[in-house]
Amino acid sequence: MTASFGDRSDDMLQHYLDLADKPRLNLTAEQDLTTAAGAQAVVHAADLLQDESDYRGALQRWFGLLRVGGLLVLTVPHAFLDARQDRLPAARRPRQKRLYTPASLLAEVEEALAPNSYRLRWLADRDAGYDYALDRATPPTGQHDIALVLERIEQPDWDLAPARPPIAPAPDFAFEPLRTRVETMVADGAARILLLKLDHLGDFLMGVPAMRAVRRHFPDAHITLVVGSWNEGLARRIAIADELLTFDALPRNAEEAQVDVAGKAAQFDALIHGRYDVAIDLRSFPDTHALLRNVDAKHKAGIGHRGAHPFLDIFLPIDPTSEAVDHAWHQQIGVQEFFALNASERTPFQIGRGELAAQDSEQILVWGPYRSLVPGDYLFQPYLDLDFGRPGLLAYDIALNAERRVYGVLDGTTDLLIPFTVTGKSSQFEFRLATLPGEPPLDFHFYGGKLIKKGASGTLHQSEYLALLVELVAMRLNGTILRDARDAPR
Amino acid sequence: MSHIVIAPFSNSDIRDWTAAHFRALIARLVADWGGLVYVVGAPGQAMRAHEIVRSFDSSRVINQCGRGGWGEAVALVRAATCVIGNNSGIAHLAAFEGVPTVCVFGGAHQRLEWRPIGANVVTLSRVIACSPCHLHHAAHCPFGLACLEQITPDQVFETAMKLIHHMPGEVFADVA
Repeated sequence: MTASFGDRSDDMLQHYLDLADKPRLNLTAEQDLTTAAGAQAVVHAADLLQDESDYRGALQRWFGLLRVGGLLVLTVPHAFLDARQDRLPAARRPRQKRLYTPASLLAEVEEALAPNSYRLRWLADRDAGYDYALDRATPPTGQHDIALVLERIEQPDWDLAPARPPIAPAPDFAFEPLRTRVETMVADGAARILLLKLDHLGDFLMGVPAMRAVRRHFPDAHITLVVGSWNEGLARRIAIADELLTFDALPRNAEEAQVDVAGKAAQFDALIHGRYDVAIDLRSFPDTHALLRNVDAKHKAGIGHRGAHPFLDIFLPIDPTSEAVDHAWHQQIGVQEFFALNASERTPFQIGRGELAAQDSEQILVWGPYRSLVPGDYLFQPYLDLDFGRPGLLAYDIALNAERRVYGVLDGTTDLLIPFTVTGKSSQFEFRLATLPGEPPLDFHFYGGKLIKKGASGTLHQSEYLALLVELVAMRLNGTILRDARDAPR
Repeated sequence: MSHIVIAPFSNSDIRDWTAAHFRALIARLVADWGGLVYVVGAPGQAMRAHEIVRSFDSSRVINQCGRGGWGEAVALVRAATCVIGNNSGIAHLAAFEGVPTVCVFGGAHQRLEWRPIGANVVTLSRVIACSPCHLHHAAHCPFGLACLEQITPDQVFETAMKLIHHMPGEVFADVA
């Protein structure tokens, strides 16, 4: 089978080669190009590019020979017509560095030449007289290359990349001068660990998963565990420590004796000897953290905030108590998400009653925020200031998909929590404040509210707090401690 | 031949060191380091990659941006002498794989929270009052991305060389 469109592609190549009369440069592999820059009307690189290691450099050199309006005419062997391979080495051309398709040839051009320095005029497979019946072992007959023609154009002076000129100088830093930080991480590991678990029986048992996690993370470490004397037997049973010490920082029965951890610090200091890689207080309340102050340890860890315990360098910054009702999540909803009657008095921070007078029918004064809720039990706590010193009444309701589900009249109850249940798959939640027919509205200021989804998943167990602390310690000691240049060994 | 992987792009251009800085860094690598340089990225980042590689010998600086699949990118990273990138996935991958990694970390995010984690990672970031700004687009920065502009190619090059040559004490040499 012989290609039938070949004559046309052959004519086209010749057409481009002849398009500009002079000067025309037919490149060879050994040609010295230093004297011809920017002058040529046509540069013809026939079957050269495939042998160039630096295709970008070759294309730029050849293109640089052209004057504006000049043509770069390239031909390269076609991967599927010449080599008839999809990977190197090319059987008949061992010097060939790359196999080409029209797409890969054009990709090299786009990579090598500046955008808007050229326009593509022609790209074609050339197979005039090609015999597709020949097997791959037989050299091809007829044309078996790719031709590409570029025209050099006058390059515009605008850039494709967006300009980002600063509109202000970069600000200085308040704490330290401008500089580049160079920081890495250090894996200190831990060969000697001091664990404090000084609280009572229940707290000790809740800390067992965390203590076992310490051993799991540091299987070869020497662990000294310090416990209240009442927990010594339990501590031996869990067998995570190489050394067990007892210290009664807290009274055995806290109801009968005064807690004075600070007063026992000197006794504790006398008990603890040697240097540790890390000392961890596994009490979730911070009252025993102070015992770590004088311990000779490279790292000291506990739950709480470093501001209160500056000697802790690894700390889980959480409050391990929850004063709230059981809840899966809660969300503050600002007043800006609520709508208000035009007659209301509105600022960015609150909605007030304004100059509303009594009406014969109910008037909705505030409504929103139209949150889509999944099924479950919820509480809404509106943030309201109410003035009962003047006459008036105000009603509230909860609506789901605009249908009233809960209704009440505000009676001065503080911290109002309104329960409601969502059963439908997609319910639009709405809280509303409304007048009562024939009554002037109570003077009010509404500041938004808190939406709470009931459920247990939002609260951690004490054992989980402690386990998280141990995980944090393990991650830090195994490589996430950031070291600043100024602290680094030289 | 050993190679260094350059990952100049992230999913947000406010995290990207400038193309001019990457070009200057690659120029130093080509001049002062003997191996190959691979520039990697996604197909949509190829045009920007062209701007970075265009001026270099294509037998030394290889444009892999948009070429090959994820598996090839991972293999290239794993075999690298060093990976130099922004706060982006490739830097995290290199850190995860234990490959020596230099991360040029912009000020949009808090480095303490988002830096790549690993034993062979060095993070360069700029002390600057506007950080972290949490902006998503470089065009929105009023300071011309000073947090990245002021980290110089020479700083990154020297850091990479010290990391490659296992001079940990010197990697930390603070930079003004």
